[in-house]
Amino acid sequence: MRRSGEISERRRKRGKLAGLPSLVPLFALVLGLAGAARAAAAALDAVRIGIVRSPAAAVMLIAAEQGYFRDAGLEARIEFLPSEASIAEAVATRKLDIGAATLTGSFFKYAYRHGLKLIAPETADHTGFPVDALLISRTARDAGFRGVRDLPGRRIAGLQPDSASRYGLAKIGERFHVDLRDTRMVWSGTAARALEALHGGMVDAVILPYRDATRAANKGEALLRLSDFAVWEETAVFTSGDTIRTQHRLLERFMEAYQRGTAEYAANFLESDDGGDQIPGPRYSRYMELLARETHIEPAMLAADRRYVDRRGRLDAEELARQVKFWQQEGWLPRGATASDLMDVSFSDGASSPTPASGAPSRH
Amino acid sequence: MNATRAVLATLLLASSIGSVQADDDRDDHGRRASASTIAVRQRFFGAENVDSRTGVVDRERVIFAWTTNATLAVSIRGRIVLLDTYLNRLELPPPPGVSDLRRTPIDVSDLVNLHPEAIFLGHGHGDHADNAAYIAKWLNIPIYASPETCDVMQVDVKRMYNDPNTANRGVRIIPNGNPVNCVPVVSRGSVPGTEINNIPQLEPLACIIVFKHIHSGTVPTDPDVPFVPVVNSSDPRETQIYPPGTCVTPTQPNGIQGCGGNGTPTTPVPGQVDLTTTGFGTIPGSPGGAISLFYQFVLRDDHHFNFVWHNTTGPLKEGAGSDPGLPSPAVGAHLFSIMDSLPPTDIELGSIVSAGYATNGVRDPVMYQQHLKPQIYIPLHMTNVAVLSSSLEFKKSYLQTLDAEKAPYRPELRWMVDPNDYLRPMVYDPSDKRWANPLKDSRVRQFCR
Repeated sequence: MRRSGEISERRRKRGKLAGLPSLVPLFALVLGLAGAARAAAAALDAVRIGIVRSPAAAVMLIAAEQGYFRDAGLEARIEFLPSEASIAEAVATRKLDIGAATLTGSFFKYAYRHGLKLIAPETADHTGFPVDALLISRTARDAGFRGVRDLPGRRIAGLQPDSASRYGLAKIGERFHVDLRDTRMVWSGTAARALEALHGGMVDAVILPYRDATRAANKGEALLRLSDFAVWEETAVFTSGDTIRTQHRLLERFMEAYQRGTAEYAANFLESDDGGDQIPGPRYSRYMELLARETHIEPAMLAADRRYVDRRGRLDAEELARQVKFWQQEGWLPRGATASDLMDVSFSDGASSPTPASGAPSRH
Repeated sequence: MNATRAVLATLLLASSIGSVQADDDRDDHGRRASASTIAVRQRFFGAENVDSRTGVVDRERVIFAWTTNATLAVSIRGRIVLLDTYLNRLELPPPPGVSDLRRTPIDVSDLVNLHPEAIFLGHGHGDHADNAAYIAKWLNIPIYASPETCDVMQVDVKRMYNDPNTANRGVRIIPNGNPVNCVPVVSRGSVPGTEINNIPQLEPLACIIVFKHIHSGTVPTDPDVPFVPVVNSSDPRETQIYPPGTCVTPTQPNGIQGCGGNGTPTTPVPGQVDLTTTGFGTIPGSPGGAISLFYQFVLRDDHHFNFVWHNTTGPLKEGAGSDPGLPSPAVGAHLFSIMDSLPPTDIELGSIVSAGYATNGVRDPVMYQQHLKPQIYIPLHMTNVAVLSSSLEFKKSYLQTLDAEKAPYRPELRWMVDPNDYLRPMVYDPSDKRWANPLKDSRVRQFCR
């Protein structure tokens, strides 16, 4: 199952050794340590994790780099697969224990059919950390298409009918009490074709990944970041129902490590000053190098495409139930499907909020 | 070079002040304060309000002096405190005899010479907590803050004490490396609003109520309230009137905002010294930067004249933030209920600027205000996040938001504009009948034990 893109904490340790100076005593010591590390690794339980090369993979890679999986008694074998569909298939067939995927209609459909369950959040399209954007043509903008309340009656091009941004648009419509039944969606398949439609005047706006939209916005178009109007879970971590039944403890340990990873990611990538400008954490540069190396994405691109991650690593069960209902209404999930068929919040300790004490003031 | 020598001199002066502070700080006993303290107090609080012989500030009045961003020097019937310690555009002064045309004609040594008895920090970010550890060390006064920010204050002390300060002939920046007296006022890692505490610093004159609220943040546009955008733009004459000078912190000026302490580091030149807070207020393992405190200062007598001070304004409706228990609208609602039940607020000194202004304008400051219902509102935070001289844009947006929301409550405004209103004394008579309110007695009994 291992592919050329596979990395693991154990292999990374050996990679580091190769870069050490060739001082004999030191080398011998290091070899000794490496031997000890290998011996220790032998006692670790392997957890096979599938991801694609994407900025969303940051938490998993950081958790591995920091040795959080090892601390939890796991050897994380992270494999880069060419597509999210192949990850879902590998988890369903138990070639992998854990995968991560974008929450599209087709993912939910596949997950329901093959007993996959979401166990942790990965990234969200979140205010200040935009993933998707609406690019409005100059003509449409001049004709009064200025904001989300102007969506009814417009022609919008999207990439795929099952894309996560489609759910995002629906959520915006719901929040702003905008009836989207009059909004005509056109599915273009690629960003290039969507932009062609926009520039040819066939549509009023296109939904694109934010980074593509900012690059394309050069002809007087208006750009709306969808997450300025609603936030939603964009990608998540999942496993199979069979793995939950047979490897429960392993998943608990995975979650311990993963949640340390989300906290570490947040401390280094999500801190900001009063104005929302990023304050890079102490290991930000090192992690950027790691992410660039492992995802094959330029550091500048990664910096411009920082993803939001819940620092506690908890599934937002309410939000995911809403997504399940949406894809059900859109015909991607059967009527009988329920949110609990598609997620298990027990590993991430739910998303409940403590009730604030209504207590009387206390003396300092 | 003359200018840099002048700053070095003020640094050394601060050292000497610190060394004799115990003897000189006699104003509460009617004895003479140092000439520099008298001069600074007169400059901050108005010559007519400061005894030119003793330096005592009018014991009948409460006087506020704005010193940039959300920082205020306050004399509460003669008891002087600092609310935040940051100074925007902290630049080296001109040489002696040359007109001081700096945008911010205030030095950290002025805050030291003022001889406040305590520092209160609303949160630990650098645009609030810079200079705090330095001032507290020289004056041996307490800093009240979150425990996480106190951690950072101790790191600041160590860093400053170990700073070789080679640009200034190795002069120690602070007198010793002992921990600063930083008093945590809420529990570490607590959920906002779950503790409401009293700080005894000003007793028996005044009760201080403190609780944790939520730092400003960006949340999606609220569909339930009209969105009035803020044009966060500067007066086009800014750079011509106030060309950037040399930062006191060894950094490059950061665009029009000038010296923020977070510009590109440079090799220090004489006079430059780093008094900023480490990591902009957040260090590994102690995320003090954004942990935010809401204060109310209530006089024990005189109609319980009071003021609230919050140097950030969070999205309480969504309860979004980084503290434990968040995001949670329930936590935000609870914070609003605390505000509803406080002793009725006379004056609100609160941040009009929120990190969420791009998506929700000034919705959050207006929401705070609809719960606090202050008689008078004095906006803050107009020099950071808000670009310099954008204050009137925020005022416009604030007024339009009140209209658009048909806000049921409208306080009197005392809108301040940078830099004109720096050090303009705002003087209040606590015995004036306008502060009388029959609800106050029972609320004070409830909140001030």
